[in-house]
Amino acid sequence: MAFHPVRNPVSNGVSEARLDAARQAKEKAQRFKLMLRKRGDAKYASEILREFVKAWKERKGPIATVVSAESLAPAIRKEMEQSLATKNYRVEEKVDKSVIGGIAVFLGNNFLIDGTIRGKLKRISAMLNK
Amino acid sequence: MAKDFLFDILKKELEGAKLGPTGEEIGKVIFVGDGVVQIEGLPHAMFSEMVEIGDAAVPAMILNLEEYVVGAVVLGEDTKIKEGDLVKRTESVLSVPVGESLLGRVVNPLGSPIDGKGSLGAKKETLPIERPAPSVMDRQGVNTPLATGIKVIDATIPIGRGQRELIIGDRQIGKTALIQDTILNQLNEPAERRPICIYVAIGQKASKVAQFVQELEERGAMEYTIVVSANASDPASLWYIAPYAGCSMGEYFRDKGKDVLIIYDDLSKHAWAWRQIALLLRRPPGREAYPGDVFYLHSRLLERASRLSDKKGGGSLTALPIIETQLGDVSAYIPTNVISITDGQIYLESDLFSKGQRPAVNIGLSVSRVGSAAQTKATKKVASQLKLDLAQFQELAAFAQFAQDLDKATKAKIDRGQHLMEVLKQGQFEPMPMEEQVAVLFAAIEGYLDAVPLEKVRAFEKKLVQYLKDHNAKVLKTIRESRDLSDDTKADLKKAVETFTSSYK
Repeated sequence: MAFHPVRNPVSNGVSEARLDAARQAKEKAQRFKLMLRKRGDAKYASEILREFVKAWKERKGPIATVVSAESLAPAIRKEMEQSLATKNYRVEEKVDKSVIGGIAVFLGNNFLIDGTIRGKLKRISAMLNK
Repeated sequence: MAKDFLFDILKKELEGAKLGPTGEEIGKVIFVGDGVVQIEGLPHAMFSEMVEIGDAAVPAMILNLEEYVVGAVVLGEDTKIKEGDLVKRTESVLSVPVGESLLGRVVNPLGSPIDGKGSLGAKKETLPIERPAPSVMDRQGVNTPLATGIKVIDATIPIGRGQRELIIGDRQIGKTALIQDTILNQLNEPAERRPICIYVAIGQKASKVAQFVQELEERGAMEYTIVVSANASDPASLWYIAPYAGCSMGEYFRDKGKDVLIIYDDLSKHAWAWRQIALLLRRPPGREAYPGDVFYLHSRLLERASRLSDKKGGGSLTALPIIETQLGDVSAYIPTNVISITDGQIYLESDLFSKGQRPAVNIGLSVSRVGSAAQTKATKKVASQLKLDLAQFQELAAFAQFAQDLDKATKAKIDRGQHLMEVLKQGQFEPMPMEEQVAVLFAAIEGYLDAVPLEKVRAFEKKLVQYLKDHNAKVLKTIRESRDLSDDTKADLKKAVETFTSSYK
């Protein structure tokens, strides 16, 4: 799990200010939990949490996930970041051997530009099967 | 060497194809179970659109569009789908292949052949499974008979081309046998007027369908028949789309000006399948747990049956839906719905069936609301007397069980009625051409059968038909071609029947 707003551990070497912020966050979460319970919505807690994590991740703009077979060469990465930044996307990298080659870009959650070898082979097979 | 050859083929195939990366809309599966998937994303998905799920590209059809998720039914194996699988749009509504290449084939509701005779060929036209019914101006009244080859139906409950006639009855009562004979009877029609038959099997046992197809094949009826089969083991989603798919295949021919006969066997199972899907999609249940749109489910399907105007080519699509009742209960939800949608019903009764009256059609309860306008003149002339005699007989039959001494006239009427009922019996795989029906019914209403003992009526009938075929083929030919029973023909027929009766002892 990348980030957990409620159970984020507080290590020993942190400043008093951050500790205080953490305490406040904990209290807020506690109150939110109570409110959910009062309204009878406690059963949605895990869904709310999931949505919150998603919203938190995208608070600085939508995320573009770049999938490739090997980690990107620095030059390509830079270009990717620059061109996606014009549309306010932040780049997240992912390595997946099964794509064989090329790059696929997921824009947000609903859009995919598939430039991988796997995608191409799939399109060929779909065409030949027709 | 062999490799180069393959590369050449591939190169040729792929020439000019666009395979570059294109942006596409995706969604993610967040729930899968019982043949239903919930998908997150796909913001621009359409209702009834086909989507492909996961690496196996399992097809699914979208039925629910909600704020953040869309609900879809899986049209394949849902065990191949995992949570988190990518869902891709096809940007086309669910369509099935149509055309002449389907004739003689057995296909599943998606139009893929399941008879092991190979693919449907390269040139494929497709039509969406949900199509609007023809409008008022595009139609004309039903005016051409559709011969079923079954005496009792053609004479008393005639069916016209473009009509919707319900066949209703308990299980194991001969509903499927009835329509099988109807399909077989189309062999008696001249090829240019022969309707194309489409048999849609919904939730039937695969063995039953195989047997059905085999019978048609042996008798040469598969040439003009398409069988669309959603077997009992197929998912409910396929049961649900089967009748619409079959209807689109029929409409292709109808729009080309041909006549089509489509049989939905049966719509009660179709309603069950829709109930299952609707409940799994969390739509609120209503009476008998069917969803609120179960009436519309069948009305929009049966409304597509039509007789098109001459401007539109004059084609027709005749629908014969089948409903299976439980213990003869016609007042249940689905039977009453479909009765009110159709233009009449043929009611099969288990009492009659067990008494040996087969086909077990209850003439009193069966009606055809438009059919009599579409009866040949010849049949009409013999049927009116037949119907009158039968009605009188049914009224008196109740008495006959108690009364010992009846007056002569009553007794004669009962006797006549019993003979008529005997004449209306017909074995399976014995569809009868119109002219023979007219001859037999003529003999019956004119009283030539009254002297024949009841148990010998059917033998008499067979011999009479054979005699007419051998010695009076001209009379039969005149009836067949003029489709009328003029006074001259009537006299000829009378003479022929008289000669036969006097020689028959």
